[in-house]
Amino acid sequence: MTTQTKLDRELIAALSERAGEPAWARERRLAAWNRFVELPVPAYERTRLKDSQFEDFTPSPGAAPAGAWSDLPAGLRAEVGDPTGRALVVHHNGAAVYRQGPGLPEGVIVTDMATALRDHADLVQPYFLTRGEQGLDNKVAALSGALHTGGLFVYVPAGVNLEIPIEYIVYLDAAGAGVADYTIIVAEAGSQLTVLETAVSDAGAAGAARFGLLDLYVGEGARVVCGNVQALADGVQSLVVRRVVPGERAHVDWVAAEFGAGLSVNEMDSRLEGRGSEVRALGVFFAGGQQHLDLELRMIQTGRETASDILVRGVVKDRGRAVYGPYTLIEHDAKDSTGFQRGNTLVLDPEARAYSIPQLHAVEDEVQGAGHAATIGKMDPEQLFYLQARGLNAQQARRLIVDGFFYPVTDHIPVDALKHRVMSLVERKMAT
Amino acid sequence: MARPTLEIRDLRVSIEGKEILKGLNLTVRGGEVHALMGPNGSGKSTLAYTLMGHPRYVVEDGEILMDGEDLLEMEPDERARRGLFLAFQYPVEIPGVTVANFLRTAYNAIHGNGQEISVLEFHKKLKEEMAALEIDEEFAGRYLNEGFSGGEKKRHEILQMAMLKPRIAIMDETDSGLDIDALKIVAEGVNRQRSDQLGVLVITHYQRILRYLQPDYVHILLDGQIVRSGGRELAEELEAKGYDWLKSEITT
Repeated sequence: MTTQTKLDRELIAALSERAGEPAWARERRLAAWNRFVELPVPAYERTRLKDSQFEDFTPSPGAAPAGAWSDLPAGLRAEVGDPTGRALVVHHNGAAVYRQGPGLPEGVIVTDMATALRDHADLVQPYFLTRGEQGLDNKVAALSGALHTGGLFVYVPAGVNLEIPIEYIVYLDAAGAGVADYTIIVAEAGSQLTVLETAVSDAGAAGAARFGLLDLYVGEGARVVCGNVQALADGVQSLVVRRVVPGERAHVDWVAAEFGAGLSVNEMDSRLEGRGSEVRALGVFFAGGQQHLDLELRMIQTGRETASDILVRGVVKDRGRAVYGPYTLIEHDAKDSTGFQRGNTLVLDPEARAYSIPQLHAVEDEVQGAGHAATIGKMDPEQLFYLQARGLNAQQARRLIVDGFFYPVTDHIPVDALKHRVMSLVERKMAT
Repeated sequence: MARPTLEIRDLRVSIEGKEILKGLNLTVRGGEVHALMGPNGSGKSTLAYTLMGHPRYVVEDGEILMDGEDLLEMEPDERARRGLFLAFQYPVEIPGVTVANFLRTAYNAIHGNGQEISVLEFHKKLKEEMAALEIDEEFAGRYLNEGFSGGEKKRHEILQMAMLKPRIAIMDETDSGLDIDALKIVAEGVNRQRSDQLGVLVITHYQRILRYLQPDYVHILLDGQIVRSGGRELAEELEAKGYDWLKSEITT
């Protein structure tokens, strides 16, 4: 597992040079690299990460561009489904290989990060790796920022409503390779858009690692739905940080669906500074086999009249482990704000484990409402018996109960296509 | 088609080491409605759950045959597929699963194998049955039993019976907690399904429902055994004189 090419400053600088990036981009990558070296391995309560998780991988071999949809790997196409009429940007092992989509409204930019740094450098500059400098970083974010080859850049001008979802596909199929991507999404004031990411891999990508960073910028009154579906193969590791600091009266919907990978940590950080801003996070997870999934949702509210709401449901079976760690902090001066969390986990097998670590702190006294509820439970045998008494065999009964269990979350997913994908991923997980 | 038959022979059942049924004998055929009456603790629910195959009840001895086949060898879902139906006394809630979705899944599980009913046909039939049972249409989209009143739950059990078309139906104290109006609706619902192809076992504590759902045979269950059988007059006699009368009758 030793790298042929050493992961160090020189590698980062060379990577940036080869891509023909502006000098400022190179400097910021190197600054991120410094932070990566200095920052400790993130300490999640129930997920033990080691230095090796940040070192043991080979550089990504990239991939050749695909001339047509049919040239893309079969596994990728199967997961994405019928591409007709959809706006898709596909990365294969961190290389932008394919894109398609209808014409976009004037001023809207949707492209891969490498192209954006070449063709829209001025537009990217205010946003590119600036949050790390403000101290909003951890080791995963810093590494992704320094090392990224893949990633998306989306820019929507003020007042524009982008009706069609922008879909970003991250596909890995190089065993043992590390792929890092950095995505920036900018929604100017009053704009609306939906960005959906899907991470999928070939079953042969054993030992591959995905590091991801997403910086979401949401202007005043803008509305963004940011969904991510992680359906990587069991042998893959995924560490991703997604962060947003919404503007005044902005509204953000995070939708996280964690189904794959041997180890996955999905951290979604929201700093609600803008007055009247709202962030909702919907989460669905399903850990089976020997998977370890960790959903870390942070809502830090410093602005007045801000609202955060976390709703997560998950299932663990076989020897799978899942961690649900919502953290809400309503700071002093965040008057008239609300913060809610609800999380429920269903344990299907005796060796499966679920950990629920909700934290809700309201430092500000004048809060409109705050509350959290978390449950972990087994399937009710009386429910199973009732369904069996109606002709469903044990497996069918379990499936129906699990479908029903997820319904309160899936029902709230604001994008139908995403809702159906999540439901079919649940079905698939139940069948294995 | 041959009439369905349920034969219970010398059934002994225990739960958590305690013997509840102590040698019960009963036969129910298609076209017949049998009432089984007994005081609390006599074993009524034990019989209902045992017939359906609830794992907590242990059959110590005896046989249960449905159409000549050994029911005790079958899992609950297989018994349902053979045409056995239990209207539960306390139907559980299944959150997130709608009444319509559940019923269609159950229907296909029981009557499937190439005979799956079309969605359109199914919904038409569902609408009809719901109307007949005075269940509001919107219930089709409600989650199964979630937030239903006692009466609503019981009517839904009969709705399921109407949609799933069983051969032998056991009603476990379906009348408990119902007012007269709900009782009549439930009784009518069952009466509508009466035929040669349906045998019904009504398990109840009170005589009330038997005024509207008139039985062909009445059996009295006392301390785990059937102590007396007769026609419907037996139910009236029991109502008038009480279980204590019967107990003393038996011991003398």
